[in-house]
Amino acid sequence: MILFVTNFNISGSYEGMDHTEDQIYVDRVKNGDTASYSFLLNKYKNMAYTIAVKITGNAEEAEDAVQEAFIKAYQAIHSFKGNSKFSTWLYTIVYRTAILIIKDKRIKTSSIDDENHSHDATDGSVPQLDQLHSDEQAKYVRQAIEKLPKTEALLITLYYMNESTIKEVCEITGLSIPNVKIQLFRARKRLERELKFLL
Amino acid sequence: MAAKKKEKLKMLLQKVEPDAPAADFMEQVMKEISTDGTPEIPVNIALQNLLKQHGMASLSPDFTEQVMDKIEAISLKKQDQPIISRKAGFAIAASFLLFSLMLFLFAGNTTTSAKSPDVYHLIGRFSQATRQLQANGSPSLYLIVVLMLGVLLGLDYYLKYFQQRQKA
Repeated sequence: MILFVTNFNISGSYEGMDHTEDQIYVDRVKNGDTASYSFLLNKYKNMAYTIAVKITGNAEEAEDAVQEAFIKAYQAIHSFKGNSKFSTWLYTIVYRTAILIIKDKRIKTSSIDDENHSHDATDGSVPQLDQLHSDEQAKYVRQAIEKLPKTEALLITLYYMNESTIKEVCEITGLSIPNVKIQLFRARKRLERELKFLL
Repeated sequence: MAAKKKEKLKMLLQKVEPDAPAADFMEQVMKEISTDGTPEIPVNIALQNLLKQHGMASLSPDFTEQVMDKIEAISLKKQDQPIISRKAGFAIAASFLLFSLMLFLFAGNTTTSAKSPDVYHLIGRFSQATRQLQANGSPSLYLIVVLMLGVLLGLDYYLKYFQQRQKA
């Protein structure tokens, strides 16, 4: 049986605590305590990188984008008023920076929205769950995500892995609510199909 | 002949009804994508756990140090705050104007004749008000205060203008 809940239900109370904790560190940075920024950096760097990888499709460019985004965020921290979560604000910067980087260094002509990764890493045979080690599971999960179009992979990252709400996802990506919902629905169905043997 | 065959094939294919999804398919899709009602969409917990466990990419261990080195090299720009807030500036300007007006209106009679033209009458009043603000021919405290307020307001305006230019 597959258990369904909503992100709204899962992440309620922790978010509030997180939000306050982040705000404390943001205030410290605003008051000139540069070292406090390393806390925020460590906390969000991997998710920021995961988002950037989904957009650029390249580890090196993603690392550049994240580095640039963190520096931009630091320089603009006075403009963060705490109306939204710090992570949402930061990921918006990461998203825009990554988009700018791929626009600058673009070799391919296709856009983020219509690009579809076609490499099929699986041979079609369904492996047995008990035979799979964690590393192999990770490989299948990554391959399944890589098969998704970039936007869907990004939305899955934000909604499922980061547990952002639909509103936050829209804020970060600039997409409309119906668009996000449709793409998430499609991506979820694809992943469920791809990873059926692991679920 | 070929056209006839093509037409026959077309008619044959049209006879076959399209595949239909499950009866509740539409309902399920609409539930997931509807913008009203619940703002969130259902999450497959098993899928979520799997993605969280294996889907996260990680950066090189020295990433934090690299960024922090760069950040420490950048001096955090100090935000110049205007000395006087906009509201306080307006309040000071308004009270100064009111004070000047009162002084102007209720200053003592001038030597200018009441029959003289209005312009001369006004000039006379103004010069009298100015004389009243002076003591022993040197600028009084009032004039110094007015001058200082002018300087502060000018500085305030300059800081705001400078800040806006930097942002742009």
